[in-house]
Order: sequence, then structure tokens, then C-alpha cells
Amino acid sequence: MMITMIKSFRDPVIFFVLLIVSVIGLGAQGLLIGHTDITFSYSIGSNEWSAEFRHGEWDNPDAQTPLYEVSLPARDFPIGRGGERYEQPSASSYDFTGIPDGDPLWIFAANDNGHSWPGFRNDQIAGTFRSYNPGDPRVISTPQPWMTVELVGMDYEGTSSNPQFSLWQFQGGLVQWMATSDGINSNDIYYMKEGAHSHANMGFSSLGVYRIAFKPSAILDSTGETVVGATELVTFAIGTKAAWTASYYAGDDLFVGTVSGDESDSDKDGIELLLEYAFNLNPISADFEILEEGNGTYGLPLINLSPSPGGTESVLQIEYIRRKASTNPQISYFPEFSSSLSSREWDAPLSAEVVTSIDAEWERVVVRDLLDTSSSNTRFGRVRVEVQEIISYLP
Amino acid sequence: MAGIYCKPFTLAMKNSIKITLSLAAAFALSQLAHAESWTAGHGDLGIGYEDGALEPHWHLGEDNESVTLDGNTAPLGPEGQEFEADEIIPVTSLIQSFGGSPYYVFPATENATVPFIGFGTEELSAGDWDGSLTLSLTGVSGPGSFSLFSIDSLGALTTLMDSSDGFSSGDSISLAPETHTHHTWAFSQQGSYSLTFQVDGTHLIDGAQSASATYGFSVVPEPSTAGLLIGAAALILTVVRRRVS
Repeated sequence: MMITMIKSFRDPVIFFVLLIVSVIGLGAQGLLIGHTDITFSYSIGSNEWSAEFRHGEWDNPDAQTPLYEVSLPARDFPIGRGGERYEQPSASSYDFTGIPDGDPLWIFAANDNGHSWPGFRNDQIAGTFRSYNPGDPRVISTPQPWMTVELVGMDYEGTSSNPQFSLWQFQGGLVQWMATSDGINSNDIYYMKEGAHSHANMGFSSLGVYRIAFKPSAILDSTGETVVGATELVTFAIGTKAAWTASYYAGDDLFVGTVSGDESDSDKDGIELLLEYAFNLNPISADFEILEEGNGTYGLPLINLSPSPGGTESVLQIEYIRRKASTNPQISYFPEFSSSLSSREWDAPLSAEVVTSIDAEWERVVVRDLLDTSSSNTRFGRVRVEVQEIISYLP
Repeated sequence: MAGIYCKPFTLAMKNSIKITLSLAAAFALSQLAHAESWTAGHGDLGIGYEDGALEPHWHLGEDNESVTLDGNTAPLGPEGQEFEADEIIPVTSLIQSFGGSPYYVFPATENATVPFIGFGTEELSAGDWDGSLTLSLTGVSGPGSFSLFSIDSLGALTTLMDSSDGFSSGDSISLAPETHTHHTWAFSQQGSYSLTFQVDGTHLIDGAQSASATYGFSVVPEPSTAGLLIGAAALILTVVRRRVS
């Protein structure tokens, strides 16, 4: 996919847009970082299951957030550099992840890595659930008051043709709880003891946004009735671009192209979402801004005339900010020039880029056209932004 | 190391239950007057800082999680409950294999049959400390050896502590303030163990801090036998107390 931002030096002043302060129906949204438990509870009084994120620690143990309001982010950095990206092992015991050997695999680890550490929790009064032996070789045969979390569905928004989710632990050996690679069935189930809390490895095959559907169940001790809850949806944002999108949108909005797709413009400011991402703008607030020359940190590319190297003529110059490649932004920037908007031929700048670091995420880039006003009286400049379909990670 | 552990484990399995009973009973008698046996639920070897001193302790059952102490299962409230190091004895009979050798373990991932033991520094404020604290294993007594294992998400095993080759700076882990982590606690043989840990850190106002505490652990043959042992020991203790009174 390609989105371009164009400006001509012929009429640099007539470059305006009607800003519309948008009122859009977005609810709360954001990312949950740190120790977070997907918590299920059954109410005897209402005969209903409920679910939410519990993410309180010592100072605020009761902090909780509805599942649909937030996403859990994974960073697209190798584990050796503080991220969640692993490499699919060649051992066949890991084939359940559905990923070719050597390909990247993003894992929310069962052990705390200081970033996102999701687990499962059952907030239940002891004695609510009946002890039983499920006859599943993955758990002990001694009856326990189990509650189960069953995988019942998965949605994906991203560029991959092979999105997969899996859940596993090591209990002296590898125990596979869930995997979408062989289809979703009743074997995709995780056992948790009443009133307990546990962590497992959650694996994802691709960059993008996943929505995993879980359904809780248990047997009531008082009646022997099996109580099955409604489907609960948990959203995971894998990689820089997905996490950025999930920091502004949540729930269903993340899976509606007209709301949060690359070509969407939910804040109605005339800037498509991919360009908001590329140029550090806010996709849910009308903020049509041109980059401030020399020290701006957000805004669309600034395209203007500057003195040519000889000093007697002028040349078109593009100044823009871009996400550093080291952040694995999943996009590429291409500054280009042309003599006609009707032409399909755009020239890459011949001059070297002048790159200045802004911070850990962003850098400023200045490039100049190869033709000055002595040889051409009409030139256009643009920055083309493309989503990377295939990502090659640097070693 | 795997070869070293394998032999004593095999021997222990061949030994009569009588020896195990006497070991466990002796341990239970010496500990039960003070300690509750912890057989299920989540808790941490917690590090606190009170009155200018580091305080290693047990912190069990945070977030209303159910914990089984002396056979009674109940939640311990939103913030859980703190215990002195010698007030709790975690008990396991769970066997898992690491590096090709079997161990009695408290695993890094929750298993419903045994305590789920972590390390917690949530009581500390990151802004009060110069970086992370160091928790070191400085002593082990018991019939076998103790190891602390870390298993990554794809099964790679790292030995973080190992008492079989003595004690050095290598037998330590780094714990950042306000964090919580889990590793696998592994014992080579059945019996009673005492593990001594030292915690070191630099408080930004109070300077270098260090504290040490000894924790008891019990490795028993199987849950039913463990219950009998503890029950028998408690009965004997009751009789002794009655005679004394």
C-alpha cells in the first residue's frame, strides 16, 4: 500500500485544508503494560461470569479495566534487546505455533520481562467450584476445583496471510494448551484452579492486531451445574505499528477498516491514518499540521524552496520526520520529486539525506531536488509512505 | 551437574520409607511449633524495607488468591498476608525433569498441587534504590542439593543457583524494585531443607543495605504421605504439649 503527500513549489501558499473538528464515537482506549491478568469471576448471585483486566500491583491491588477498552502490546525487538520477538525453533515439538522454522515469533512470556506480562486469574471464593478430574492428560488426575478458559475464536488485522495464536507452558516438559494452527476445537483449553492465578507463554506468528476469544467454564459445587460464560475478547497488538494503532483505538474499532485502517480518517482532518502514524500526528484529533522548520517533532512534510548550492537559483527541498528504522516501524519513506503531477515518473533525490536524530523513535530528514529553477519552472515534491509487506530484520 | 543429581535421587527412591519418615518427622517436630505448612496457592519470597532495614519474608496470597496453609484453603485478602521466613514451610512432592534429571520442584508455572513460589519486590519503591537488588544463596542444609532454574519461553534452561558446587557470586539473581518473578525451585532429594538467602541493595538515602534470612522447605514422597507425616508430627507435638502442661 502507498500513500503520498504532495506539494508543489509552483504555488506553495495555496496549500490549505479545511480543518474539521471531528466528533467521533471512540471510547476509552490504550495499552496495558506490566503485570496484567485476564480475570474471570463467577457470581452466584447473578449466575453470570464476568471478565476484566486486573493490573493492580502493591500500591493499587484492585485496579481493573474492561477487556474491550485496552490492548496488550508486544514490542518488535529481539529478546536480547528488550523485546518480545523470538525465532521459531526447528524442533518439531514447536510446530503447533504454525510458524516456519527460523521465522519470527512474538511471545508474551510466562516469566516477567518487565514489559507486558499477561496471565490468567480466577477471582473466586473458595468452595464455589466442584472438584473433578477432567481426564485430560495435561492436568493431574487428582480432582481439583477447576475453571477452564476455552479458545473459541480469533480475529486478525494486519498484513500476514498466516496469523496464528498459541498458548503453552513448561511443566518439566512442554504442555500445549491452545493453538490455532490446527483449527480451533475443544482441545484448545486452559485449566486454572479456583481462586488461582497463572501465566503461560502466548505466541503470535505475525505483526498486527489480534483479538482472541475466550470462554470461561466451571462446575458449581452447590448444584453440579456446568456454568459457561459468554465469549470474552482480549486484544493483543504485536509490533510498533499495531501498538500505535491500539493506543488510539480499541475493541471493534480496531477491526473496522473505515475507522482504524491505513486509509481511514476517523478524525476527518484530511490525513489518512498511515500518514498520521508516519508523521507523528494524532489520528483521533483533527491536527492538520505542517512540520515546523528546523525543530518540529510532528507534522506533514515541509516542502519549500531553498537556495541552490550555487546560491543564484532555488531548489525544492523536503524536510520531514520519520520513524527510525531501529524501531521496526513496518513502513518505509520515499521522498520524491517530479515535474508533473500527471506524470507517473517521480525522481528520488540525488543529494544525500541530511539526517538528524530527534529522540529514540524519530529523526529529521532533509533532502533536495536534483533540478533547480534554472532548468525547470515547475517541480513537485512528495513523500511516499509504504507499508512493508516483507520485513527483513537486521542481525 | 545432571549426573551428580541423578544418582542420589535414584538412591533416595530405593531407600526405605522409614528413613524418609524419620527425616520428615524430625523436621516437622522442629518446625511445626512455629511454621505452617504451605501446600498450594501463590506466594513470594518478598523483600521489604522497614525502619531502615531490608526485610526478607514470605508474602502469600496477594489479590485474594486462595492459599492452603496447614490444610486450610482460603483467600488472604487483597494485599495477602506477610509471614516471617521461619513461619512458613512450603511443601512439595512434585517431580519434574530438567536437563535430563528428575527434581522435586516448586515450578515456575503454577501447578495446582504445590505452592507457586516467586520472588517479589513490589513493596520497594524503584525511586528509593540505586538499580536492582541482589538475592544470593549463601547456605543450604538438607539431604540433597538445591538449584534455581530459569526456563525461557522456548524451553532453554539456565541454572541461576546451584548449591552442589558451593556458593559464589554466581548463585544470585537480580531483582529490580517493584517487580515480581518466578523461577523453578528444585531439590535433588526428599527431606527437609533450610536455604539461607542474602539480599543486598543500595538505598539512595540510607546507603548500602544487606539482610539475610533462612527459609525452610519440605520435600515429601507424595501428598498423602506428606499429610500423614505432618498429621503425625502435629499429633506428637500436641501430646508433648499436653504432657508439658
